[in-house]
Amino acid sequence: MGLGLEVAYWIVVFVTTAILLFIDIYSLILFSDLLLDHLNPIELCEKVNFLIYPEFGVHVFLTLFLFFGGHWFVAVFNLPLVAFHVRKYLRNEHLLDNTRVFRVAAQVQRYYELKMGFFLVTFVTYLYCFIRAMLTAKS
Amino acid sequence: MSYRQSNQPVDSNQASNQNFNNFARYVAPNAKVASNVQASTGSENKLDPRFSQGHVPSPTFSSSTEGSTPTRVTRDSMGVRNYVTAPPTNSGAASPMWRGPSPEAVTAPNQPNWSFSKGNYPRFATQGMPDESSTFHNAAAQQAVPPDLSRLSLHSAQYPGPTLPSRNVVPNSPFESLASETQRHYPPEARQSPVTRPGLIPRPAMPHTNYPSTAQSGVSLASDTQQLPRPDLSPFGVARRIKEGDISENYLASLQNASNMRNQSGSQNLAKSAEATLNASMNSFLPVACSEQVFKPVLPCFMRLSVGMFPNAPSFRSKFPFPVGAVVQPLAEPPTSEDTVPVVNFGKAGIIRCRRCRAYINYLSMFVDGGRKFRCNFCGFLSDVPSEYYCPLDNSGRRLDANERPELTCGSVDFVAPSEYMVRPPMPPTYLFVIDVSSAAVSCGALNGFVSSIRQSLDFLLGDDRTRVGIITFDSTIHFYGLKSSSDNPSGKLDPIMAVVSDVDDVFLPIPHGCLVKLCECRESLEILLDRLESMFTTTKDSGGAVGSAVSAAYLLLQTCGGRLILMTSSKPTRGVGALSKSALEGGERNSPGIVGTDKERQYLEPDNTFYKKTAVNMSRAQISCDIILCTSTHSELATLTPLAKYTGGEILYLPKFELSKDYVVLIRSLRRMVSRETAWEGVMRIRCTRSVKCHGFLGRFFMRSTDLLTLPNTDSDKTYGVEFVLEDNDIRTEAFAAQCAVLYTASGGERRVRIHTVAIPVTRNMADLFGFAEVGAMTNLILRTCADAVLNKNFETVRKELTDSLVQGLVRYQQGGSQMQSQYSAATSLSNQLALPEPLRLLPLYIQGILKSPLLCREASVAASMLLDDKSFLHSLVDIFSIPLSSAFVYPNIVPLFPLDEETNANSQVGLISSSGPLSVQLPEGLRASAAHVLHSHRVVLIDEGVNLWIWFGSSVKPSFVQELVMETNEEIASEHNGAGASISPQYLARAFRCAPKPGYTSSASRARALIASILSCRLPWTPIRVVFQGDPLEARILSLMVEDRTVNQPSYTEFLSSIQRQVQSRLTNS
Repeated sequence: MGLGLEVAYWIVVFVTTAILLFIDIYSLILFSDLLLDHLNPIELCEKVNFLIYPEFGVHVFLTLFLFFGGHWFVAVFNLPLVAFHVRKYLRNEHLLDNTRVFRVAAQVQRYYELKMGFFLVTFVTYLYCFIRAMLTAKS
Repeated sequence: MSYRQSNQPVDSNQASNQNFNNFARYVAPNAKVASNVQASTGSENKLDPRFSQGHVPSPTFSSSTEGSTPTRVTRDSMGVRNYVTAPPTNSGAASPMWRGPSPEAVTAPNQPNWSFSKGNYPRFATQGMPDESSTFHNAAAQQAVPPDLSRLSLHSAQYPGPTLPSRNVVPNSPFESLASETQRHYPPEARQSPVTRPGLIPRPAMPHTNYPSTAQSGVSLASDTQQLPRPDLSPFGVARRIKEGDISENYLASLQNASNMRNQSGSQNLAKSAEATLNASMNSFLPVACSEQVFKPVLPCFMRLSVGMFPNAPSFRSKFPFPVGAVVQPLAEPPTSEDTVPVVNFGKAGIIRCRRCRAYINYLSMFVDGGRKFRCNFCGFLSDVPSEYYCPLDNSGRRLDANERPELTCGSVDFVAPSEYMVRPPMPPTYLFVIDVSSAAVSCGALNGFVSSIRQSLDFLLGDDRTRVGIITFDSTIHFYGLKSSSDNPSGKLDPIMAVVSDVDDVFLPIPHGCLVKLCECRESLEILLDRLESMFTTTKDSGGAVGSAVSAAYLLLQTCGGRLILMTSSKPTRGVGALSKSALEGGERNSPGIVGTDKERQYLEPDNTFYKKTAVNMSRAQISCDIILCTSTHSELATLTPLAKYTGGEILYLPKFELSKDYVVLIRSLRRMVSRETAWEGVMRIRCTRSVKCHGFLGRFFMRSTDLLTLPNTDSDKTYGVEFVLEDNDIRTEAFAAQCAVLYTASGGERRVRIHTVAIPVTRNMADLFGFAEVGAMTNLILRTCADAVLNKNFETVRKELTDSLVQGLVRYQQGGSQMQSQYSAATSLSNQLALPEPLRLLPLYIQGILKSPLLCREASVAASMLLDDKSFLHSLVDIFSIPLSSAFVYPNIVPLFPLDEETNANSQVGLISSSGPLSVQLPEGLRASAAHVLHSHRVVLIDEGVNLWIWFGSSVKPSFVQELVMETNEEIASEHNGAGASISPQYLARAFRCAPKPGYTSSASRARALIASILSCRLPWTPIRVVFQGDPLEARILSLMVEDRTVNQPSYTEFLSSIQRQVQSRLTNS
């Protein structure tokens, strides 16, 4: 049963990462909409800023969850991003400013792409852990 | 004899040089000139009577260059060069071929291209370095004469020679029409002023460690500083700089070139080159819309590009380290009344636009298919011509009516927009005054000033009888006033109703109607209110501060109709919504003068809260623009309020240390100008460019609604916008780059209009063209804007370093280009003692140094002491609307003596008197260079025009007669005040005395000085303060910081700056 718990644990981790990935991809789509003139900067900022706190929260939750689950290595792997988020928050740079969107759009897009890459890597890692946990559970 | 024919075999060399082909076409029929070769080379100044009249100052900085070449060049008394023909020697060959003039006796009589380069390239010859074109000449020479290196290099050395004397050698030059078009308001002698020669700056000598002190008058510096590049300081040059900012001759030339290309690029001409054949289909849409005589290009005051030739590929663009962009002032006031923008009404046809890219029809559009279709010059798409607009074509493919249609003949044009361009009926001009009536405003006299300035500007409000006005006042509560219409209340009960809202956290409108009324109907009621306002609040004890709530109340009021909110305040936002945070209220570091000029200031230049930014964005959507008039005696967090104006296209007027007596005139003048200048309501602006070029990084006061659409709830003749062009992945495949700025707006008369400015310049693949046709005025403006923006996000040092680096990199590119050219023909010569600069950009080091020394990027203690945080914030907001004349004056002040005017340089002149011609209505004296040793002589009174301030410096031993005259000729009001004040004269008093309108008829020095000031002020923003500084005053430190050529505590002098730049260039060149 303990092993079943392990599987459940990884499923939670897995799903949380999927949520983060979704948020990132959604934001990226919003940005490309902006550049194609389907969206005005005010709406864009409303939508993107709406997702920023959930994203930070979910990611902090994920890291803590991994930490308390005893998976030190992956938790530490997530720490730099947490630190980055905290730094942005402290400097009050986390929210997108609708008057400067076009100035920073390229940069922010890049930032979301990098973050998406990071989440993809962790996603695969968690997938591996999940499968390993399943295999151990079966055997 | 045709030049082109004689050069057929080497024609492949011309592939990328279409321009010169076109010239060849002009030259060809002019056989007389070609046969005139020998005569014109011998003594060119004799051939040109106009040139030898000596109107023009001698070109300055090239003379020592001549000393370094093995050329004997003498000067006649007029400063015009005579070339003493010397036999070509080998040492001549070793000299860099682009170093100044060399003897030209080498050319054989049967060389046609010689006269060609000499006589018929008036404009192109001014290029600073040999580019492909000179290679091309050399190639031609090679064919005619056996290759002789010495001859070749000498020959091409002549090419960028002193130039422009040839105007009357080719009197019918096709450039003339356009040249005269662009410069027709200049006096005749100015038109012939020679372009200062391109060339090399002598290596700056070791820096002078001790400059002569200001007390010693007339000490001249070492001779080599005389020759450093400076703006033209002749009376005409100064006048033009004040009026139009810096503009390089080459830039004008490139505009002409564009128009020539447009008219001359027949297919046979283009088919010559392989490249052109490839692009033949593309080239076919270079239009022939109207005939050349009637063509009017966009005036430089409306739109100016920073380059005269456009780079053709992104990789090529990335090698050019300076901005490629435009400075646009869409509603600028044209210099003369005949330049007013024509209005076109297409009637039923609707506005003719490209169906694909939506660009408007312009003088570059070409009609095909018998006039039934036209080809867009931006995207190349063929659109149908509406049947109402149809007109048959003549033999050359021009529309028969092209010359009568302003949209096909003028670069700037207004279209009347039909109802498809409206989302609602055009709004009437609406003004809502939001006035601070707290005790702070009453005690410093601001309320009095506000009320009387409103009263005095009521007659000037735009919109005739459609105008609507309203008044809201606030202290710690918000007061609304219901005005009554005279026609509804004939019995005479016109007293306005007052309603007070004390819930400042959640404002609502207590009076649904009557707050915003038609001026013509309620004028009496409004005047009753204005009369009472002052007395109502004279004894108020209310500390006030509900600024944010008042703004949201005004927003609620204007929400549905849009309009203009004029916020007049003298208190900080302390209550209600948008109140400052506790730390900002306490002040702390913000109040200390030491904070300005340090890296800490950045955080305080940010708004304290986001309320005003959010409100501004909402306002922008509702077509409201917000002007801020801040009259205050203490620090009042202008930085927090700024977003209100910045994102709604409003005006900011900041009067620190407000005193009614001092600022009364300024306040009234400014408000009158603000409400009465040409204004565009509910506007949007978009700039369209040739395919594969995008606009990026707009700078100015606006809100961006999509990638390239600026919303301008309000824009007017004083607002300027900067934009940079970015090449996307593909190369430009057309001959010409075109940019079209379109502003869709509601005119004050209630008509919806589109204002179009279309400019076109040729595309080039040659680095030398980018340098050779750059436009230093626009470039400085863009660099200044970019720096002001960057310094809000980066450290001072980073920005300064980036700026210096870009300059060094540019010079390295230029010299690399130069030495490549050189190594083809002669052994590489060391450039160690010279700093090469392209002619149009020769002032750029000086201006970049000016930017580095300006309060924007400088951490100088003297500047910091005279500036508080609010001043800095105000300066940043001013940079957003800097036009080119302002930015030119800001980076290198215009300095003219006011007294004595009859010094040796200006003897016998009519300085200060009305002159009929020229860019200013008053004859200006010779300018002075910005160096204390040249300016601050104790017997002088000097005017220093910094663009945003006019400083008047009084020497300690100025003749008392001048001051007496000045006082005597003021008008009564001020004179009496002076008598009351006693014998000593304060600087403020003198400043006011200078501002008085000069009385007609007087020719004393004082009234001439006053006329000079008045004429310069008329080219500046309405509130530009005049500040008088006596010699020895503490404020003199600020004057000294304006002397950009001098060394200050932390900053090098001009000479030192140049030598450090030169060292960096040198080390990069040797490393690469």
